[in-house]
Amino acid sequence: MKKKILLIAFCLLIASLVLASCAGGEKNLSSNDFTAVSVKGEIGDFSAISPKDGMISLSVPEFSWTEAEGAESYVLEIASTEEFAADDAAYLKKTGIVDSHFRIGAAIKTKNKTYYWRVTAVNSNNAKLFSDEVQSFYYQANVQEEVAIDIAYADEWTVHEVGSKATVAIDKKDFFGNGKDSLTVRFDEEDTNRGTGFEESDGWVVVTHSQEIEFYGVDAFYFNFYYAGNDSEIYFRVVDEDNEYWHAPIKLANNAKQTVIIRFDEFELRTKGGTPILNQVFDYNYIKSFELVFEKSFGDGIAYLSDLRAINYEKYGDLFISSFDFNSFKDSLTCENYNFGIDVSEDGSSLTYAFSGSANERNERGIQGYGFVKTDIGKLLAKGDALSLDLSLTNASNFASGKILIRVVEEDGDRWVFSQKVSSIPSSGKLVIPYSAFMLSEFKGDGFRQFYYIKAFQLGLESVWSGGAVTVSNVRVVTLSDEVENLYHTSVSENGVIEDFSSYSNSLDLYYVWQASSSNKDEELSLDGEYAFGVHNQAGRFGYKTDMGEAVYGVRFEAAEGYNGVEVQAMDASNEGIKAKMTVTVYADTGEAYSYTVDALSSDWQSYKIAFSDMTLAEGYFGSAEVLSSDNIVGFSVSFEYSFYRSVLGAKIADPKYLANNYVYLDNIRFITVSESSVSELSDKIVPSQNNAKLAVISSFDEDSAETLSWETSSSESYAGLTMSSDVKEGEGQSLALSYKTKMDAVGYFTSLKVDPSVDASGITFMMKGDPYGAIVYVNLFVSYNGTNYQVRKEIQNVSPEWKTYKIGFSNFTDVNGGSFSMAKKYVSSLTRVSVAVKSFGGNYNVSSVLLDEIVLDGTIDYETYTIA
Amino acid sequence: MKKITAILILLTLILTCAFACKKQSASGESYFSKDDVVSESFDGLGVEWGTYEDVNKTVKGSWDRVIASVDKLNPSLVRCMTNLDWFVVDFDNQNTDDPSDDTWNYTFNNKYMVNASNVLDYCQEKGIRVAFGVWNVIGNVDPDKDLYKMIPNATSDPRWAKMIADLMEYLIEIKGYSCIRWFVNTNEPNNVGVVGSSKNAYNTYAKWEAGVKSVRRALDAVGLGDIDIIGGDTTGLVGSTQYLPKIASNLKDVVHNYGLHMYVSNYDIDNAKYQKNLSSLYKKVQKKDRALGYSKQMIIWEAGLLDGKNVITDCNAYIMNCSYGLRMADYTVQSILAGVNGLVYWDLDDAMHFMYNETGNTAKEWGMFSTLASAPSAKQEYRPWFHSSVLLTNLFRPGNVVYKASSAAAGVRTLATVSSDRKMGGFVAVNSTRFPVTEEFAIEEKVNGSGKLYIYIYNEKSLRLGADGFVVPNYVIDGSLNAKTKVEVPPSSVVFVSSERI
Repeated sequence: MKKKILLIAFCLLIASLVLASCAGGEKNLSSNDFTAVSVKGEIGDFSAISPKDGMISLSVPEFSWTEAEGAESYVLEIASTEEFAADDAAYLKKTGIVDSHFRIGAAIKTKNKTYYWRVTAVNSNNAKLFSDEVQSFYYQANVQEEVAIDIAYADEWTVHEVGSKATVAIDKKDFFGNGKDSLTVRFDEEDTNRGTGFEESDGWVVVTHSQEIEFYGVDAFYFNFYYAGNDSEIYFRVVDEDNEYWHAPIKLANNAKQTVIIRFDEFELRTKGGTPILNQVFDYNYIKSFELVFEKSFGDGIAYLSDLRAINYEKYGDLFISSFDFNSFKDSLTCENYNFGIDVSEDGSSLTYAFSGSANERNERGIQGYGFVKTDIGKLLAKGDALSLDLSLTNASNFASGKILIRVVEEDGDRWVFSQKVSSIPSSGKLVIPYSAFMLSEFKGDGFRQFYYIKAFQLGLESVWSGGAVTVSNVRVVTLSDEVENLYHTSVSENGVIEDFSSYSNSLDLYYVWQASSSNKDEELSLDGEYAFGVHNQAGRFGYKTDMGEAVYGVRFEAAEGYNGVEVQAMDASNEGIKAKMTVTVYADTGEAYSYTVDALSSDWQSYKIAFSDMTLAEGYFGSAEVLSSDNIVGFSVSFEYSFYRSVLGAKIADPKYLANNYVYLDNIRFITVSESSVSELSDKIVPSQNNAKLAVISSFDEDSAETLSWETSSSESYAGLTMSSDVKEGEGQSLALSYKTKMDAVGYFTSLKVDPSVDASGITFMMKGDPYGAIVYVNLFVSYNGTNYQVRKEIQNVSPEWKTYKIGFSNFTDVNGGSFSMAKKYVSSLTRVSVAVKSFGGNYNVSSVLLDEIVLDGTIDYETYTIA
Repeated sequence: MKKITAILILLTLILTCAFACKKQSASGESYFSKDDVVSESFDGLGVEWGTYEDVNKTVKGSWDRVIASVDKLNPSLVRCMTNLDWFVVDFDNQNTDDPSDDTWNYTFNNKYMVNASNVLDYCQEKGIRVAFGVWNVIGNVDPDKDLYKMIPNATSDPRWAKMIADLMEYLIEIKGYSCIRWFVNTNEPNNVGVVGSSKNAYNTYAKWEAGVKSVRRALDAVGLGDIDIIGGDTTGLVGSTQYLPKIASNLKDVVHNYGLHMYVSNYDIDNAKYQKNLSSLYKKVQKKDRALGYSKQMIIWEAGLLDGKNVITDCNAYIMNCSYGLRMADYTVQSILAGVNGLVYWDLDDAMHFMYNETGNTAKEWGMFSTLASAPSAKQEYRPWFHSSVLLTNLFRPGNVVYKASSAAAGVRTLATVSSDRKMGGFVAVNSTRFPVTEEFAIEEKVNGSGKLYIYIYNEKSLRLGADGFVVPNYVIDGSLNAKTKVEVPPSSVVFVSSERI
C-alpha cells in the first residue's frame, strides 16, 4: 500500500513537471539579452539654452537646454504666466522628451505677449528643474504691411439661414477694374419681403465668410464695394477672438463703385440679438469671420465686394484729404452761374471769390444773386465728422441778408449744401460744420449722406445783390469733439428747463448740443420760428425718414434735483397721413435708460407730461426698473420713426415707402413735478369767432404791445418798424403802423399763422389807412401743403389815405411763383404766414407809414369778392 | 514513510499551483506560431481623413503640419468623405421630387473639391487606398418647413446613381485618382434618425440595397467596374447585424468589402466582450458569404470609443488622455482577432468636420491632433493616441501576415506581424490589467530584420518623444524577433516591439 502511495505521488510529481514545461507551447528558442532598467539616482544640474530669458522671437522658438546627468527624460512646460497654471489657456506640457531640445507642433495663438517656459528632468525616483527655473520669451508678431483676405469661392460665403434669402456668387469679370474677382450678393423683393411669419427676418441679409486671420501692424480694412438697390443699411462686420461681433456701417453711394476704408477704431460692438458681450474690446489681432450685413433691404438689391484687405491706414494717406490746398485744385476751379473773380493764396490755404454789383443782375440761368465756385476733389475724407473753415467777408454789409453756401458732391452725385446767413456768421469767422448739418440739395444718387468720398467741393452765394468778396481759408476735416467744448452737453436751468431753443443764434449751434444718430439717414436739426408755439419763439425742428431706423437726438447734462417727470412740447409736421412715433428716453448716471413712447404724435402742439414712474427700462438696457427721479438723470433723448405696413390676412407686413422730409417740432423740454402722465393741447390757433363762425380774427391789435406783438419785419432798414397806433377806423382800440420810405424798396411785415381746420374762409378782410404818397401794398398769403410751399399775392395800388375796409376773395390772389396754385378753402388750415409789404413811388424819400387793423379770415364773402369801402 | 509520502504529495501540489499561478498573474509567454495565422494578407490600418469642410478655420500654414503628421502615421487606408451637394447645383430646383428631372449641373471649381483633392493627391502619391464616399443623400431644404428634405427614395433614386457615377468618373477618369478603391454609398445608412433632423430619415435597407445595385450598374457603365462598393458602412453592432448578413445574402455578387463603424464602450474593450461580439457578427456574415476572410474582407471604416462622447457636439473628451490610445490599441488587437482585416481610426484632425447648429458651427474634436486656429496650444499638440496609432499603423502594414499567440498572460492581448517579404516584423502586447506582466515573446516565422529590436512602451509615464515631437523607442537592443524577448509590460500599457525603427 505504501509502495502504491509512493508510486502515485511520484507520478503526480512527474506529471506536474511535464505539465508545467508544456504550458507555453514553447520550442527551443534562444533569448534576446534584454533587461529593462530604469534610470535612478540623483539628477545633475542643467540649464536653459534657448530661448534665453527675455528673448524676442518672431516664431515659436525651438526650446533647448543642457543635458542633465542622470535624467531619463524631460518635461517641457510653456505658459503665459510664471505660475504655469493648468487653467491657463496657453499652458502646454510635453512629457517624455528624450532629447535636450524640442519643437512644439502647435501654434501659439496670441502674439505680442511674454511667455514663460521651464524644463524638468526626471528619472525613476527624482525630478529636477533646471537651475534658472523659469525662462521667458516675447512672442512678437510679424508686422504686416497688408493682409489680403481672399474672396475665394462662393461656397465659402454662407447666407444666414434666419435672414432673408440671398444668392452669393463670384464675379470673375473684373467688375471694379482692379484685376480681382468680386463677391456678389443678390436678393430680390420675393426674398426680402416674405410677409407673415418673417417680420423679424425680412429685409435682413447676412453673408458670412469664416476665415481665421491674424492682423498685426494693420489698422483698417480696405475694399471695393458697389450696391444698387432699395434703401438699405449695410454693415461690414467681423467676429473677433472672443466671438464678439463688431460692425461698422459702409457709407453707401448707391450705384457707385466705391473704395471703402474702415479703420478698426470705427467698429462698434454689436449688442443686440444675443451676440456675445465679453471683454468689449475689439480684438482685431485675431478675426474669425467677415460678414456683410444688409438691414432693411426690402426689395431687389445687388452688392459687389472685391479686393478685401487689411491695410495700414497711414500708407493710404494719398487717398484722403484732411486739409484743403486750393493750389492743388487750381486747374479744376470753375464758376457756375456767375463769373466770380477767383484768387488762391500763395500757400493754397485760402480761396477768395469776388463779385461785383452786377451779381445783382440775372446770371446766365436767369437766377439773381446766386452762383458757385467749384473744384474737383476726388478723395476720401480723412478721419473726422465736420468741416472747419474760416470766412472773411469784404463789404459784408452790402450782402448781410445773403447766404454763404458750401456744397459737397458725393461719389454717387448727390449734392449736399450747408447754408449760412451772412448776418449770422460769428465775428471770428470760424465755422465748424458737422457733416450732419449739410442738407441734400440735389438728388442724383441714393440721397444718403455719406461724407466719405468727395468728388467736388463748391463755394457759393445766394441772395446777394451787391458787390463784395468772400475768402474761405483753412478748410480742414476735423472731429467735432476736438473743436467744440462741451459737445452734446447742456445745462438744466434752475426751473428744470433742459431745452427751449431760445438761446441759439443759428441752426448750426443745435448740432453742438444735440447729438443725432445716423441710422435713420434723414436726421436733420434746425431752428424754426414759424411753427413754434406762441410769438417771438423758436422751436427745434427734428427730421426723420419713414421706414428707417429711429432718428435719435440726445443731449447730456448734470443731474437736476427734485423732479419726477419730464415735459416735452411737440408738434408733428410729417407728410400727410404720417404720424410720427416719438420715444422719450432719459439716461441714469448708473447706465440704465428708461423710455416712454407716444405712438402717434399730433399735428397740433401738444404738451406731453411724462411721469418717470410710467417710463420703462429701454430696450437693450439692463438694470433696475425702479421709479426714477431727476436726481440721477444725466441724459435725455427723443427719437422719431414711422413705418408703413400693409395688412395681409390680418398680419402687418412691412410696406416701406422711404418718405423723406418729415419733421417734428419740439419745444420746452423740461423736468417737471407731476402726479401722473398726461397729454394736453397747446393752442394758439386761429379759430372761428364766437359771434360768427364764418369769421376768424388773425390780428385785431387791440390788446397788443410791442412785447406781445406777433408781427415782425423782414427788413433791416432803419426806417422799417412796427408801432402800435391809437388811430382806428371807429371806436377804441389800436391799429398797427407799418413804416416805410418812399422811393425805396418795399418793406415787408409778417405774422406766422396756425389756423384751426374749423375755420371756414373764402377770403381775407382788413382795415387799412394809407398816406399821402399813394402807397402800394402787397398782401401775401403763404401756404405749406403736403411738404410744398406756396405764396399768393394781391397787390393794392394807391392805398386810400382814409380808413377803408378791404374785402378780398381768394380768387384775387395770384401765385407769385408763376405757378397755377389758387388759394382755396381747403388750404386755409395750411396757411403759415400772412405778410404785408409797403412801398411808394411818390414823395421824395419820405419816411411814412400805413395803418393796418382787424385782419380777418372771412367766410362771408365770395372767392371773387374785391371791395374797398 | 507516511511522512515521505505526504511531503511528495505536498510538493506535487505546490509545483502544480506554482506553474499554474505564474501564468495567470505576473508573467506569460506569447509564442507566435506559423500555424496561428490570423490574416494571410492584412489590409492595413488607416485613418479617416475627410474633406476639410472649412480650412479657413485652421492655423495658417497648417497643411504642412497635417502632411508631416500623415507622413509619420503612414496609413494604408484612408476614408475620405464628401457631400454631393457640394458639387451638384440646381438639383430639383423646381422642388418637384421628379426622379426624371436630370437638369442639375456640377461645380467642381470650389473649395470642397480643392480640399478633397489635397487629400487625394497625397494618397495618390503615396499609394494609399482610399474609400471615397458621400455623407448623405442629396436634398434641398424644405422651403415650407425649413427641414432637411432629402430625396425620399434615398440612394435608390435613379438620379443618385447618375450623380455618383458622374462624380466618380470625374475623380478617377479625369482627375486620375486611381487611389480610390471603394465607394461609400452614404455614411451609416442604418442611422436614420427622425424626419426633420436627419438627412437619412427616409432610408431603409431595401432602398439602400437597391441603391447599391443601381450605383454598381452606373459605375460599370462608365468603366469603373473595379471600384468596389462598401457593403454597409453601417454603425453599431445592432445595425451592422441587421445589414451585413442581408448584404451577404442579397448582394454577394455586388459587394466585396464588408464595412462597418464600431464605437465601443471601455467596458466592452476591457473585458474583451467587443472581440466576442464582433467575432459573432463576423461568423454570421461568413456563414452567408463563405468568401469572407478569403477573397473578401471586413474592414472597420470608423473605429472609435464611445466613452467620453458628447452626443450634442460629437466630440470625445477622452481623446486627450493616454488611456484612449491604450484602449484603441486593444480595440485594434481585438478587431483583428475577431477576423477584421483592416481598420480606419476616427479621425485625423479636429479641424476636418463640424457640427452645424443654430448657434454656429463647432468642430468635432475627435482627432489625433488639431489644426484649428481657435484651439489652444495644448489641444493642437499631438494627443497620446496619435503616437500609439503611429506605432500600430507602421507595424501592421498591408500585405503583412498577422499571427496570434498560442498563449499569453491573462488580461494581455497580443498580435504579431511579419511583412510579406519577411524583412520586417514586430508584435504588440496590450496589458489592460492594473498589474505589471512579464511576457516573453517570440515569432516562429523567420524575420530577416535589422538585427535590432526597437521597444516602445506606451503609457503616461513611459511614452518617449524625440525633439520633433514624434514617438521614439524606450529601448533599442540587439536581437531577433525569432528569439525570445522578455519584456515587462507595465499595467495599463501597450508594448510595441519592431524590427525597424518607426
